[in-house]
Amino acid sequence: MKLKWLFAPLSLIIATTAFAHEDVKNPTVKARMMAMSNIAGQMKTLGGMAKGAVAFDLEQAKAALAEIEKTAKTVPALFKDNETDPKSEALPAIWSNYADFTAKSDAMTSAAANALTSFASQDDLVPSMQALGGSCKGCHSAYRK
Amino acid sequence: MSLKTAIFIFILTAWGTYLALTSPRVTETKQLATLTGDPENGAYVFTAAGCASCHMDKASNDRLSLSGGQAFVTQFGTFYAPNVSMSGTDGIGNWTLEHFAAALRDGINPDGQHYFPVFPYTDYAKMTDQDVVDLWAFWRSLPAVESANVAHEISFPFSMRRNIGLWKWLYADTPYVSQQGTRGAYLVEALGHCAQCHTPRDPFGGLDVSRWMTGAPSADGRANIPPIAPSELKWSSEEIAEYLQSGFTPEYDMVGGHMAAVVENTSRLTTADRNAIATYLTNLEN
Repeated sequence: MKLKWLFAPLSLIIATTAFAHEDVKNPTVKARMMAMSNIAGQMKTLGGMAKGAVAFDLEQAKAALAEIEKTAKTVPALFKDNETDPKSEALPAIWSNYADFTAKSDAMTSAAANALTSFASQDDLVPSMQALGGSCKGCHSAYRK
Repeated sequence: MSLKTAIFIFILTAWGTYLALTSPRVTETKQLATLTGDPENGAYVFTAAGCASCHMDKASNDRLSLSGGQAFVTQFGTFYAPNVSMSGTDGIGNWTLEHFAAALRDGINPDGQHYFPVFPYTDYAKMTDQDVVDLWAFWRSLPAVESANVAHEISFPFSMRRNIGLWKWLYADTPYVSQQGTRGAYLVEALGHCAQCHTPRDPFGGLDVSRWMTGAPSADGRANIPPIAPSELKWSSEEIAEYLQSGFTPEYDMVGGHMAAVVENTSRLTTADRNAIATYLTNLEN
């Protein structure tokens, strides 16, 4: 197995330590946070390349996008049950507007899928991140504290 | 002099002092008529000052539809953003430039009464004449939206507008806290009114300037607004500027809640202005 294919799931470990969710008791809430941390970790990989902090690698970038798409697909199911925890930042509106929440989550899945199909070079990095970032913000502004 | 007379004179003096202290004062506006309004800069000021964030009709998702209605829950009561569209009946369509300037910078309505300081006029007081005139030129182009104002829900004595005169005597006309004269200070302290959320308040609701930008409970008391002063926020100015542009934190978390509305605005500013805001923040002394 090529080492670079390990990179995307490895960054899951790094991302979750960065976001320190040890205090979270509810396992459903923790699973939600881990999924979000994973997405953040993939974005960080892309961001590092976009800023020139690390060398651009086409396969790694595509792997990160694929991991985002895969994780985004799990979000509606992860948030289906109205589970709470003192550390949760999920707003109750998620469950009163679950259809809209799902639509916003699907927007992220689509953004990642679209970015993946047309991704060919370093020039595609920034537009992809902007599209993905927009989908993050669209959901967070309504459904996160 | 008898005791009764002394008491009478005392009451008269106290009442007279109260009236003098609380009387609505409007800064000179005659010079505004000599300036030409540039609606293009006005649109930019509109973004930097965040007018839409409070006054837009959220349901419409249209930042130019300023029919108000958003609720602001505070310890003094619940305030509803008024309709400031160009509607003559429900908004400010009949206002003059002088009315607009007095509202923005002095917190005085066209009837000569004080506005509640949920409206951050103590910050907008630092706006330049030209920016006020440009903003009004842009404002005149906005649509008229018919939608009646919702009355504030405030309990006595906070409901007395006259008493705000006392509050203003304590808290208005404040000088710049930091880096006066810089673009960053103007964007943060005059237009962006960032301190209104990010600085703690004393029991009368005035900003505690000694703890500038060190974070505070949200107005409804349910959340904590984070510190953005360098004593606690360790981001570089590049990281702050990036956040204001994309909403990404250095760990690639994404802005949420009310701050997302702020980033909607800051993402529309020039890169130089975002950098100026970031520089201002990282330069704050503690």
